[in-house]
Amino acid sequence: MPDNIIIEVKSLSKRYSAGLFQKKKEALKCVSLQVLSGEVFGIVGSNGAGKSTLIKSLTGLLKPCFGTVFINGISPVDAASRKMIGFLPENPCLYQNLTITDHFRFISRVNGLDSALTAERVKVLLNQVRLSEAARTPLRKFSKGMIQRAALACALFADPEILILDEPMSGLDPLGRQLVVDLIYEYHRQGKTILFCSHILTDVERMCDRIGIMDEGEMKSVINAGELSNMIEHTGKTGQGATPLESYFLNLVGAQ
Amino acid sequence: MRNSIAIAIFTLREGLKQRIIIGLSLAALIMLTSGVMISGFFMRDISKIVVDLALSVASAGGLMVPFFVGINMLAGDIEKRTIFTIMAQPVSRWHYVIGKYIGLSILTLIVILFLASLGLASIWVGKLMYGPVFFKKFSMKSYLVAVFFNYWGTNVLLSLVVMWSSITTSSFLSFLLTLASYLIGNTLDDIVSFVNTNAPNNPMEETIQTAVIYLQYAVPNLSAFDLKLPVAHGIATSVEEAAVLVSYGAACITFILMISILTFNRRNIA
Repeated sequence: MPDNIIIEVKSLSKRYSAGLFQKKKEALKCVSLQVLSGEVFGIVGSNGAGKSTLIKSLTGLLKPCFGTVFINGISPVDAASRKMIGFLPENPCLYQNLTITDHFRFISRVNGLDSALTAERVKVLLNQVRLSEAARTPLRKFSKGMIQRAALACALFADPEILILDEPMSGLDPLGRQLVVDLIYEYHRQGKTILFCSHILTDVERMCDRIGIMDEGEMKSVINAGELSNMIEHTGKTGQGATPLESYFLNLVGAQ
Repeated sequence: MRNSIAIAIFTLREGLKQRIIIGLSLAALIMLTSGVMISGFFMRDISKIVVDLALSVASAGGLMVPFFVGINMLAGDIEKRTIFTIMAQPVSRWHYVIGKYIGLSILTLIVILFLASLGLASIWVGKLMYGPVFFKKFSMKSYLVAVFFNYWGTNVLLSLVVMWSSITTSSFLSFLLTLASYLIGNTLDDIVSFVNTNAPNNPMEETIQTAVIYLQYAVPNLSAFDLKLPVAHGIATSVEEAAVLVSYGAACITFILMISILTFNRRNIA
């Protein structure tokens, strides 16, 4: 077993009660996963596969019904685990009456950053996400893409060791998408661990070292991105005009 | 505690930028100005009317914070998923509950102090317009004591908002439960005294009597903090009474917040 495991999920199960009759729905079925320090790990799956549930369990927002999660050896129940994490939720909602700078100040306070470092991070990040002009604008005046970039800046603000991004490209125009891709590469170069989920398979294929494929709450497969082409050759089936990951995904989840 | 304070500052900042606060201040200004004019129609009771109105405006304004701003910023926080912004940071769930409570409590204090100051200004204008002879019974100390207990009672209500928002998943449900707690809390005294009268022509079922007796311990008695009437009539609150009220409020707030933390710790945020 590699000794540089930074995220470890063991037999994680999560069951929801939904609807009037509290019908049980199994969102995660005994999911196990190991993410290594410094790698870019992508999770793909169709809608309702359990990607977001897994990510929310990693950040301590959801309590697992069974199984364990450790972030660098610390349970997500412990707030200290989130000191290492920068989290971008799917369709992020920030406080509409406040400015992006107000959000940064809050993150700085809870992470115990000093004022000089805070000022520097504010300047750098606003520049990185191209929101310098909107630093004092209330977020209710932001477009969807701007909100997404602002939320990404919030996730990066405390310079976390691990970035957990839930659908980071959703709602972004091509320029915005490229900005996110550049940021992911930049943080990867700095040796940070990045775990993100998406159902845009091309994005995942081009950025990830390893990819986990989820379907109906199960982790069906974890593959090295470099081995994708060989695996397609073995299985033989490819979708018309599909990338290797798309073909592999379609074979695995049985959509072909 | 540093994290709770950071959340409190963040909450206060967000609360102060809510449009309802500006609307509330304008409404209070209009009410107090018209109150001074209207009180002239009640020649012998000018002081009573002006003081009662000044305290009522402060009290109604204070209530706006738990009912509108508070529910929007607690249950709404979960509903709109803005809570992720806070909970994705290295903060515990109890930090969130306490931080939100402190932030809203400071916001309530600011609103009540602002409205109470406007009320004082209206009393001063009333004195100028109708002469100090009508305001002989008015005591500044009693007025301030009433304002403080108005704040203290609103704090108890705020803790109920925090509790209902921790338990329920919708802001509407949280609003309904808070409203029910407020109505029960404010009528509890009357119900208990009605049950205790034991009118011979109208005997009360023993089960109802027992239920009311238990209910008075289960729901905070919010009417106890309402000192508007004694102040308007120039009746001072004794130190003993004030001490009992402060302790009662503190005990209620602590107990309710503890329940809120326990519930919030167990729930999923999704």
